[in-house]
Amino acid sequence: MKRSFVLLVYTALVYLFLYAPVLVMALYSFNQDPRNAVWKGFTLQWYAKLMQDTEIQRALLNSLQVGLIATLAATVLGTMAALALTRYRFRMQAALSGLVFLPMVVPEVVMGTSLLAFLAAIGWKLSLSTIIVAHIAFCVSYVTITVRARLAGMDFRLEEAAADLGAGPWDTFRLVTLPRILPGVISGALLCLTISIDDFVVTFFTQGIGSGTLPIRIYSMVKTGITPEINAVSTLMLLTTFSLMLIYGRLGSGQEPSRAR
Amino acid sequence: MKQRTAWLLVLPMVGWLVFFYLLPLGAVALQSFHLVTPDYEIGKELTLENYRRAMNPDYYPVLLRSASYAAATTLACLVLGYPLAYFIALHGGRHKSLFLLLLMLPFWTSYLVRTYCWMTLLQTEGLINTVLFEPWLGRPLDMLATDGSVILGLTYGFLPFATLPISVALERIDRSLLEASADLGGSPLSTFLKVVLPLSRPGVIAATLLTFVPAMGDFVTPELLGGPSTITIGQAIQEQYLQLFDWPFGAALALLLMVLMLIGIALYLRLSGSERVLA
Amino acid sequence: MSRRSFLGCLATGALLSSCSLAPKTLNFYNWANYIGETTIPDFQKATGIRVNQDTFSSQDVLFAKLKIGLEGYDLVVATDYMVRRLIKHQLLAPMQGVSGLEGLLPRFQHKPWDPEHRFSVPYLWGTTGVAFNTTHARPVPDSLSVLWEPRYKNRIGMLNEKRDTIGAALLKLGLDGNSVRPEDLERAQRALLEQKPLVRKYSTDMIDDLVRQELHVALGYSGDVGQAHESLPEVGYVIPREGGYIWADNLCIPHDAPHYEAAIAFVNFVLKPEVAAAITNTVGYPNAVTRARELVDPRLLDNPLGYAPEQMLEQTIFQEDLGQGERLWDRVWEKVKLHSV
Repeated sequence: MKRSFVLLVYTALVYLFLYAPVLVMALYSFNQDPRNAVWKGFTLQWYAKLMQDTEIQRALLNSLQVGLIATLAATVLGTMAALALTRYRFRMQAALSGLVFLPMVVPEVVMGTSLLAFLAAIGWKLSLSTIIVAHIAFCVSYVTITVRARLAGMDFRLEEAAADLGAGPWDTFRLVTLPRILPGVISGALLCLTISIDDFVVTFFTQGIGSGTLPIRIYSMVKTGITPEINAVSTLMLLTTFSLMLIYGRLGSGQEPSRAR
Repeated sequence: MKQRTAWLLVLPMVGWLVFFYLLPLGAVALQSFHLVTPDYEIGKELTLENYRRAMNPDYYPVLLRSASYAAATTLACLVLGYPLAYFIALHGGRHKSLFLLLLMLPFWTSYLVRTYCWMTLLQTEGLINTVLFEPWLGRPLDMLATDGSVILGLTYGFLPFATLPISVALERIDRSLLEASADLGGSPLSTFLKVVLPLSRPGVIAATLLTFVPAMGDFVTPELLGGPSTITIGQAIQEQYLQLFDWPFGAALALLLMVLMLIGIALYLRLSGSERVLA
Repeated sequence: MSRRSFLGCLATGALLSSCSLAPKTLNFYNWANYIGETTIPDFQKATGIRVNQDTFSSQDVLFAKLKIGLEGYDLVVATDYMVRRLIKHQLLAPMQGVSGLEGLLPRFQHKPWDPEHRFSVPYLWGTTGVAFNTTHARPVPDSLSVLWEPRYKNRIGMLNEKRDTIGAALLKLGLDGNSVRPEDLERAQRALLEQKPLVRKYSTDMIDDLVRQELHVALGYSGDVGQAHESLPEVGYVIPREGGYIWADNLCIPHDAPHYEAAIAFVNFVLKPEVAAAITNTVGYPNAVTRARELVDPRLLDNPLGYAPEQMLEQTIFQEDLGQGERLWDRVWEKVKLHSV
């Protein structure tokens, strides 16, 4: 069919746009030039260096911990709120809906500095947990908005029927609602993880000693040069995620993808 | 009973936002009514001076520029993202989740590194100039430090934020609905306009918000890909906080921006008739 | 470690944070890659003190963090102007027991804002001057006025630091580079607004753009330009005849440092000539220890990118405390950055 061929080409071009810089990144992880501004020849030295660089490894580990925990928590909180805001009518609903947008309109530097001052005032020692707390705060709205877009226009008679048949609220949610909103929940979680893993400003202000994440490490290299080692760690991360995806895809491909609706 | 369930569901998030956003922001709001002393301490006297200063006409073009960058970015993201979302949701088949993950994957690397790679591609002696513009135009094009490079960087950064919600909304569409429309003699275009587009509306609205709002306040992209004439309101606030260390004035600027954006969001939701959908 | 913090460790550490029970640690806050290859392990071997190094991305964010407090760093790296600001805000602890101060280069001794080195010890230093690309910028520039030349339109880079960029305008006009006279700053502002249509970028990171040849002339830091030169030999550097700035990054101890003794031990370690020379050889920035000079890579000697020749350094000045006049500089900066061309 001609029309879907055009769509296919268009999609391929958009993916090319998405991956153009990533390909450059992977290529330049083999660059000899330590400043990585121009191509100087092929080397594997940055991968070797990476294997011994405990500071980068620690930063990567921190990033993953923060990203996964914050995403998990924000997804749960955000989905709950989205359900409440869409399914029920209650007082102050409009105000609470507005609150959801707050994290998106606050400039990061304002959030970072004010949160730091607030944590100092209540005496909460900075550590990985303070970063996670902050990340959950700016991630929830993305989940709520995405899940609400999924819930919009959905009718809840199925839930009511389940309740009439004697299913408890938890079972109704688990067996009826969740499968239907799952794509929205997953998308929200993906957005969360993306924002969390790349955040610099808020993380900087809420990190404690030794809890710097990978972006913190990378931004601080600006003065003396972001070496191809950073390209190497990014490339490895990408390849790992991609292989995990393929393995998972293979394992999961036996079963029919869950039908929406 | 229902009221209580709703509150129980929404309370954790509300509590979280109140504790980690509203309370700290309250302190910021208070601060904006003080002046910074010549020693960079926060003064004691209450004043509206910071707000008066924020009305300085120097800030109008900056605000306007940020808004037009955000608008252009949102538009570009929709143009690129909608067909992509359509493809993933309706033609993705078994590999739907693979396509979605492929969309996110580039963003799990470092923002800074990705942006530096864009510089490598866009620079005067970069790949795009060498294979594209030099043979065609006979000379390289100066692409960096322009409005175009900033919008490109923003579009790249926010594309998944536009694509994901649209694909989520499109996924609900029953393929049989499309076939029915075709069977009844609907042209592909009218099927799209009458069936697909209305059903994807909540997704498009969410996509617009998730793109426009953060793009409006962004400061890293214009800092790296922009030049002296592309300064945005996000950069101006950042600079007051970190370079000039005038937190009270920076706070006043930020609060004005936030109020403006919240009003804009409310208007948008009302005009698009989607209050019941999203707010 | 006190019992309370030990219990606190158990409580919070059970969740996530890594709490060290090692008897002696040093929490060091530095730029990334701004130390010798083996300095930290060597120090650990010599003293048994474990070093946690964290890194920051700019002096401004460093200040914001120290000002709000709640951190616990024992030793931070701060540039001269930041040292003054930290002293003014009473955020530094006086240093006692530092030996080897008399062995510092005379230029870095007894600075007006800290004459007795009570609060800061110079770590590495550099200058602010003019960087250029010899292929594109001819004749080889020796003056700040090259940054105002229309033929380099869109190929001029200025630093995104108000002290350096406004200062460069003052020096170019033949005025005092630390002036706080409103009429001087008025003239500097006019010069910068006039220059703005020619400027490609206000940036703190000139190196990449110099190497990519996006910039042909730029205001830059000697050590940074040195790195650009390593990647692209056509990149050169000069301290302009109107004058330039000289500055040092210093080691300072925050007033609430939990491991004061360890910090002092580290300062003393870094002041040893062989240690200082090793740091310079890794990083490329010169150090302030006189006797380290003979151990330094000869390529860095008598080279404006490293140890600039003495007659060049004669033309440099320090960035003095502007006192209350700093707000005037702030206003000029705000005006220049916001101005639409």
